[in-house]
Amino acid sequence: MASSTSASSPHRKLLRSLVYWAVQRCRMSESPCRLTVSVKRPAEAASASLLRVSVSDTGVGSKLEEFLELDVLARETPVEKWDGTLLITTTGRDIKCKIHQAGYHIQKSCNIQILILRAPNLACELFVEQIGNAESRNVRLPQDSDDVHHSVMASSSDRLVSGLKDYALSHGNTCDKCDTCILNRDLLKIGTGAANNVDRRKAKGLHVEVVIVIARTASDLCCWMVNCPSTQVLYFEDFVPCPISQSSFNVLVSTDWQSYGFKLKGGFIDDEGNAVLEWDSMTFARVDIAIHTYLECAMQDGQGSQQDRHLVRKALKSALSHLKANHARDFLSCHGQRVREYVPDLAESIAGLILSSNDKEFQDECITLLGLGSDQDSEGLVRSSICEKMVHIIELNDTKENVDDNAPYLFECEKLDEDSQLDEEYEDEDMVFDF
Amino acid sequence: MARREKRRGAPPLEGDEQRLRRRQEEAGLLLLRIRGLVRWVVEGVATGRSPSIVLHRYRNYCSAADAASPSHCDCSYDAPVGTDVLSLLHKDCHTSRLNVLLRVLLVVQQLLQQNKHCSKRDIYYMYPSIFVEVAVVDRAINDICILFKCSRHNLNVVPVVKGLVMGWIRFEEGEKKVYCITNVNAAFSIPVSIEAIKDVISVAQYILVVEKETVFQRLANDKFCERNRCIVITGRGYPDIPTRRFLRYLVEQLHLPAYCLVDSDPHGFDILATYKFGSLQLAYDANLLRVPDIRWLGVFTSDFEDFCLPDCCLLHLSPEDRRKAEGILARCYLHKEAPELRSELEAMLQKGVKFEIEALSASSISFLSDKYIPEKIKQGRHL
Repeated sequence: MASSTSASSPHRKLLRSLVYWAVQRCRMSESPCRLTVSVKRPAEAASASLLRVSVSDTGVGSKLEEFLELDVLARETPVEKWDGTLLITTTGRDIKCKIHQAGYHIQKSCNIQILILRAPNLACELFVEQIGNAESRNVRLPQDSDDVHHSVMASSSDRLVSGLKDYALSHGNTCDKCDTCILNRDLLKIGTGAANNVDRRKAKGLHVEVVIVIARTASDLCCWMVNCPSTQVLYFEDFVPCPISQSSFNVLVSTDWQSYGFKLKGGFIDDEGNAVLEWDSMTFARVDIAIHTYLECAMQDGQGSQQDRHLVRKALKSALSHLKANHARDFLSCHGQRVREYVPDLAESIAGLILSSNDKEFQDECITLLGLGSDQDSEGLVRSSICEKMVHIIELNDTKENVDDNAPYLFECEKLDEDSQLDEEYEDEDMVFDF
Repeated sequence: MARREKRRGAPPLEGDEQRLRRRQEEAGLLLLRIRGLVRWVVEGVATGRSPSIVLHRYRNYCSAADAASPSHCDCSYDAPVGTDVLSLLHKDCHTSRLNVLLRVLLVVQQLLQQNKHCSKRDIYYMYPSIFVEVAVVDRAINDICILFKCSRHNLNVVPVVKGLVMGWIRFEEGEKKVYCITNVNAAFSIPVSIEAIKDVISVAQYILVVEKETVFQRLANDKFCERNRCIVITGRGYPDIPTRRFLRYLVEQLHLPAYCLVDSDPHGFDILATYKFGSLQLAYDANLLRVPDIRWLGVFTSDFEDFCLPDCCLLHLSPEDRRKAEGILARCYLHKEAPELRSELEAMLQKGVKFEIEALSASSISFLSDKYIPEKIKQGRHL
């Protein structure tokens, strides 16, 4: 849960937990699985402020820990009218767990945004339904069919990349109707990194995946917002968003960003547990970073990923090196950038020394060494040839430590606040859980 | 070979034609070296290798840590103490230095090809945005001298000379006759081009170097040279290169003793040290520019009492003076070569006082010329 109009922590925790366990069940399933988040708002006057949210999936393998956690979270949730029934639906069978609580009554509206990583075998949908006689309508936001097919049927190395791309574009683009912005997807620069630690004795494999998406300067893109000087790092564990761990945050702020041309001004963890990095003299429109830590097998003992800062550091460095390997010119280290600034002057001096020499034989020799023809001895040509070669030397030296990276997973973002009517009638994110 | 030859001192005097041919050969050799360097740089760039230039680092003195027992250091008047590698791959400041060096070299190549001269300030104003300040050009010229094992005058980069000379000497500088001897009390400018000096004739008995022009003029006004057969030189403060070169030339050619008269303060001592040991900035040429046998005639702290000067002539050392004195005291060459000079400076620091040469006028206006200098030289009271 990335953001909401107000911080209703107990409700968010409960919803996050519902989604978390649904995702884990789907991961355990060996067949394609569907996760549905359903939001229902009755139209009747008597319960006009009642909102029902349910999370259902077609996974398998419910566990006792799941219900114990839900029980604790339910007790933390302020309720006024609730009959104590929490309904969790799985394929072909209902499981009912009665919790003796008073009824729950929602006073205000709900505006929740859920960011879910798509795990293998998992298809997600958001279902919004208004129940009642007047103005009854259903809103379903299914995934694109090709995408659904692709993500459900096969593991793809581009899932996390694709998701973060969508996230970057949706947050950077301030124009809802400009179709050409869709094409800007290709203008984003991607760095991916991964690290894992498979412990055979315990049969426990911890994986860390990092994706960095860089958008070029705002002036390059027609509808782009102004340059964004900070980055909110998206942190996931086991395919579900959660607050970033202190150790992972420490890795972020202690990384040698200057080796890749970034200048980190500072960082902090905000009220919702998100890491925010602030940049100095940014040369890009925006930087988006996603970190995903997960265990190889879902529902294992020691549930929740083990925090291993070494793996996070390794994956982050791998992602940065990947960026540099593919775009050396754009991600020169700060040192490399400073050296590069001397290249035009150096080239001018060398070209001048060659062409102002009164030794014609020496001139011809140098021009031949540069790979230029005997008729290409203008100072401009000689200078640009030297410039180009020098820049190449600097870039080559700057990328000597490339690290291979592994396949990341994709990432998805969906919004609930697109329904304007919902916003008009409700002001906060109180919610009711239906039975 | 060129450096080794230079270290033996100036070559015997030669004819104009031979001199001209030698200068042309030297320029040609330098141009050859410049082309060799450029070819090396171009080869590197063409094959994807960073241009790298290795420069020797020279140091003629350092600050010895322990005054009691100075440890052995690498400082030398003619051997490098280390190297710097200027390239695109390491320190930013080395890339900057490489950038400046190549730009100055471009100018030098043109000067040598066209047989023209210019000052370092001329060079600065040709590309002020690259050089930022004249001192940067100065550093680059030093780097080029180190790289090609030559001296500044070989690069056709000439300084503005501020030194003055008078006394019992006559010589020609190119086509110009400098006959100091016809009026031994008249000041002449130190020659810019030592290579152009010929037909030197002198009947002087010693060379006197004075720190200040005011003292120089005092001696001229007193007709000091009429009554003392000598050559008087002033560098007007810290001496420039031609003044130092000229002094060394005279000492070598005429085989005369040289005396140095400076204020009794750390500043004066530092000027003496520049003549005797060389400056750090020109450490690569220290052995060609210094006059190791120059003698410190005064003014000493002890002269104050010896010559019965009144108290009002004394000044207290300022905090800056003390810091400067302590810095000079730490220099390794004082420990290794001139402990007696060091003791005199220590005495100044302990007493905490300083005074100027002009203070000697307190006795009488011509005390310096009539009594102080002649007696000091006659009695051998120098360090």
